Amino acid sequence: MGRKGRHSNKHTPSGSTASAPLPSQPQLRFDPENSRVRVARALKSAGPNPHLVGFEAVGIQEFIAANGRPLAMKGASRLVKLFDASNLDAVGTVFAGGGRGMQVVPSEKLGEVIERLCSRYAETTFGGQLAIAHVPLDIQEQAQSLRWLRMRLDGAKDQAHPPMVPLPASVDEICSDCRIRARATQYPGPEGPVPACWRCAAVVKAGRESDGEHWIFGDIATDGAIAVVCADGNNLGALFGDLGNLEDHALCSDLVSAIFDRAHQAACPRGKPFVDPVVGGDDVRVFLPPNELLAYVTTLVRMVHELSEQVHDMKLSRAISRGLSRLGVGVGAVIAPFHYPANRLVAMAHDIEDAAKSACLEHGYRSALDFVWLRSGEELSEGLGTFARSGRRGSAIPLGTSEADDYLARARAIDAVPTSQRAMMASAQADLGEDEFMNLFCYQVARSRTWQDWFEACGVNWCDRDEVAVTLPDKRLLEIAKLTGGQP
Amino acid sequence: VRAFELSVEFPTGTILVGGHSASPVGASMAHARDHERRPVIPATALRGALRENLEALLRGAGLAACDGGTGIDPEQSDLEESRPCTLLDGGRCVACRLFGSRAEGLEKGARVFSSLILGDATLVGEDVRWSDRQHVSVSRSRRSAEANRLFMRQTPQLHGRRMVTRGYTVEPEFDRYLEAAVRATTHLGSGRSIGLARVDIKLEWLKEITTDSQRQPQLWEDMEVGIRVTLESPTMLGGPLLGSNYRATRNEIPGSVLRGALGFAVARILPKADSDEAFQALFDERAGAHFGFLYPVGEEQDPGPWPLTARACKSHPHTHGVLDTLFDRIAAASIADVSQVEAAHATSLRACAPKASDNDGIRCGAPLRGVPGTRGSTSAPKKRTITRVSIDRKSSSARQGALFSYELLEPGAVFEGTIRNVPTQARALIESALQLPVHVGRGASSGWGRVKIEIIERRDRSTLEQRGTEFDQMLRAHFEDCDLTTEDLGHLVPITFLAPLLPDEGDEDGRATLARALGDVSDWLVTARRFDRDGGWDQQRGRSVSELAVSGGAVYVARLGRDWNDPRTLATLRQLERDGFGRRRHQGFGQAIFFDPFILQRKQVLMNRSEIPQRLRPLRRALVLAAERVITAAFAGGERTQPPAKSQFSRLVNICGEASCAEEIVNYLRYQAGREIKAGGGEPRGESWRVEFVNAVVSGIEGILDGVVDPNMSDAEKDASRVEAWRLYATYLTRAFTYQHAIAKRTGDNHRQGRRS
Repeated sequence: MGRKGRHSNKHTPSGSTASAPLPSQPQLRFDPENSRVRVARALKSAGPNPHLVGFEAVGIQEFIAANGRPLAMKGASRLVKLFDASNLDAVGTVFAGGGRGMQVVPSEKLGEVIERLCSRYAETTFGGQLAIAHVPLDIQEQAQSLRWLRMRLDGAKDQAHPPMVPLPASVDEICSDCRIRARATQYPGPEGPVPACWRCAAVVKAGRESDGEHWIFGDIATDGAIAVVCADGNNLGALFGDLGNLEDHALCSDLVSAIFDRAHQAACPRGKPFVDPVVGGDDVRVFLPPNELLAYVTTLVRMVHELSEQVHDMKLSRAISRGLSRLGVGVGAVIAPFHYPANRLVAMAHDIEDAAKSACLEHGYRSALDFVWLRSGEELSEGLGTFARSGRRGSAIPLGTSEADDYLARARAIDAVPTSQRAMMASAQADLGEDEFMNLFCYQVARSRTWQDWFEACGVNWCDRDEVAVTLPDKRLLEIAKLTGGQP
Repeated sequence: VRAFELSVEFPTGTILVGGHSASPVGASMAHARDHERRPVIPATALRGALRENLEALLRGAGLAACDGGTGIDPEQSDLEESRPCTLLDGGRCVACRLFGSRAEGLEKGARVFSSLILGDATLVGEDVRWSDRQHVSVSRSRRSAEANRLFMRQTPQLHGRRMVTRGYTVEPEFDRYLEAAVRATTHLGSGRSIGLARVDIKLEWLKEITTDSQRQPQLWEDMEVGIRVTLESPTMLGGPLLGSNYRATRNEIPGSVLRGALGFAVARILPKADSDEAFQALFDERAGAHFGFLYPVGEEQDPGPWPLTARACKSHPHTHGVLDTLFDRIAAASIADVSQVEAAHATSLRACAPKASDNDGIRCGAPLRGVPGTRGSTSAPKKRTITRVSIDRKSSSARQGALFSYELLEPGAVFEGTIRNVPTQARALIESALQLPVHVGRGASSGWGRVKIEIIERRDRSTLEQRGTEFDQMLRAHFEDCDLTTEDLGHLVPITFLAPLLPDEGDEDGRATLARALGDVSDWLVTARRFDRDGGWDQQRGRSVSELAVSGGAVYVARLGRDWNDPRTLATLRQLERDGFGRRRHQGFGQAIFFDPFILQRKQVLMNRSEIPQRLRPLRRALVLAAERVITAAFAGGERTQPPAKSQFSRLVNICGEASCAEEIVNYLRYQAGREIKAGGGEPRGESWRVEFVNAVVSGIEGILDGVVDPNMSDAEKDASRVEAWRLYATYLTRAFTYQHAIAKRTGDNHRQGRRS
């Protein structure tokens, strides 16, 4: 039997629960009328020469994770949400959320609106950049105007006003939180005043004023590691590109936000520490204990699937129904030492999320999870190309299918095998020749009740050496086993 | 400067220095390995052990010595905050002078921060086996093993082996202290209580410093020269501190780093650098040379940052190629009303469409997005993250909250760039500097950042007129496809920055700086720029330099009030390509190119070196089997089929790395076989290529070579794929030879032994 044949995943632990049941049948709480009224109001107020203004925060993830402390990330999220809320209140708004938005503006007020949006965002975020583009709005040709706006928005981030970054004159004047800006004030910390820049002081203050528990990474970490999750809806760019009018744009944006917000709330671990600097729309970012990762991800995905299937009954346009009723999620995760900088971990998780989305595109998965377990000595920023080439990362795991549930169930079941046994197996497999390894491993299985139980749960006769050889757990399965334990 | 060799032996047969390398799955800790996975002793660990012992000796002799470079005398002070050392008559203590410590800047008269320059100790001879040592925590209360506390440590088997490092000292008055520290050091790394840390260290002074750099041929072109830098040791390039306990490295070598490294190297050998005319001419901030940024090397593109307008596939950024969208931005900015949108939108590049053969005939269709990496590669250079824990010397255990990680670029990375405006009288100085040991970035005293620097021929680049004409023609064609007016297109000048730009004072985003230099700019049709903090440390002046710069890769399209190709404009553009824009140009900032050829790239560049191995992946098995077959048959055959010595196979691998087509490799092999017959009067000598063996090698890969190319490839792509297949084949031949040779040797030994008995 060749070693290649060992990683077959065809068996399922009989009797084990694939994933825990959801608390209750989720209901999508969404009233399309709100979006329609908002768009009608925007068009009515725009006068005879309306312009369409699109905007998007530049480097919003960097802004949120710049400080690196959970409290500050919560505060930064809160500031972005305040900016979104004020945009939603504006008369011409089509949609707003996650630092993005679209407004219909009378031509005579175009300059004023643009100036106000930029300065308000810069004030809220202490120097952040807002990318803005605008085009004349042809009410009869809304699709073309939207298309034109998208073409302009493509380069808008590269044209935004320069950021305001007060830099220190010497190392002694660096903000002790973000290590970039000049310190200008101080805020009270647990061990005395903390010298900081205006922005870090403001985000910490906003974090303290936000709801919920205030965890630190030390609370979240298990054995020195935390998990960082980035999730994002699949194919939404193409869906928005196909929408032909402003109303559909508003409906679709609001629906996606509602689905992801509800799914995320349902998936967050109960009674366990976590930090969720969610910034709106379909973007999800969560820091949580590694053993809560799998429960969070599977619940999030299942909720998104179930909620999006309810879109079909809402009698919306065909483009929206078709695009959203099979909405899937690409999920990337990094498990890493908790002292690594949060913004780098988020950036890496985001790269891995892209890999998961790519797997969905290639293999037709509706949703998928990809992750990397970073150990000391491995690179944080090298990029996924090298990871993939070096063979240290397996392929993405499809989620929300029965095969995926079977695979995860096998991983959960192996948790009963002592870690020392699993470690020994991995080490011996790497060091020994095939025959010598099987000789050793079969000896171990013969002595270990837990290994025997695992093979039996997978429907494998552990006395059959060939069957054992093809059912050996691969590296990814062993890693997933370490991620189990959380309860949805 | 005095060179030495430090060798380490291991009386207890092993050593454990953790945190340097990734722990393999299943292991709790593993001893440090280098990028080739061979054991090393990191220079930081060596220096730490030597320093600790020197400090003890100094204190024993009644001399002041601070605690690990903290500036604190542990016998005299309860201070907790580290500070610059002033324990020896207001200056740094001997340990700090020898090993380095925190300092605001160079002390008066000093040339270096640390007299000792020392690299990682590497293994002498063949690779070693590794052992898994299992340990279990014991509960002190129950005096029995604790549950879930089984640890596995991986250590190299070093009985009778030696690890060696070379280094040098800059200030000879501290040499005797180094000798004393070496004699006093008997333990290194962790696990003293279980016998892992015992070492014997020997110091031998050498007659001269050796470097791999060789005198370069004269390749000076005008006042500009191409530079190639190869990392020879782990390197950290002036990266920012992220948070309080993580330091990143840059992916490129800033001009200031190159300038500083060469300046320090030359200053060490010149008796009076401050008054040396050539030295002053070379390093003068205003009239001296411009040391450009060095970027990772690519196969097809000039090294440099991607233009901000470049795009790659979101799903396969590393394999589906890169294209440029500047024309789309120019078109979008030129649309006057909604009726023009459809045509412009239809021609714009929005989704990935790799050539069919690269994706099994399926159009990818994934969205396009910004490109990672630089023009050399869509991946950053290979790095490792090292986690260290600071040791409290009083308690000999980890300091609370002192976990600290940093990134290092792995040795082997190659960077290229230019030095421009080199004064004629300073050429010899640069050439002599390249013969010296040169270190870039942080931690030179720990042996980090050792580089080989070569002067290279500059890559061919078409003339400014050629580039401008091609841009003009292609943009006109694009505008015609978009049904947009082509008036005024002859006034457009695109500028791409090959390094960050520091605009003139008072200019926020560079446009005013550019407009002043170009003159007669009526408007900016496209502005694509991002901003980044560019920080650094001025070693000479002992202060940090931090500015907000326009990031490299920025693209501006200026509309001039005149044609781009009028003689006055061309002269201005040529001058600006030489001089650059903005401030700190002597450190490489502001280097730019007009009419960058890459912006004409409207189709994804499909093949580069990094993609070919992926294409060959399915054929690797066939290549392995072919190589094994050839070697097995050769050993089984007679004298005429015997393979050559292993050194010949290594040479073949090198030839494959340099060849531009497969025919070149076959030509080399046949020449070698023929040459030996000729030299030997008809019969080949014992260890050379034989004709029959060469024939077997060549025919072994022939069938496979047909499978590595497809009809849609260009000739260059076909050649590159075949050469890469040959390179793999040669590697597998070498491995198969080594194995068969060992078997043959053992069999021969057994026969001899049998005959003896």
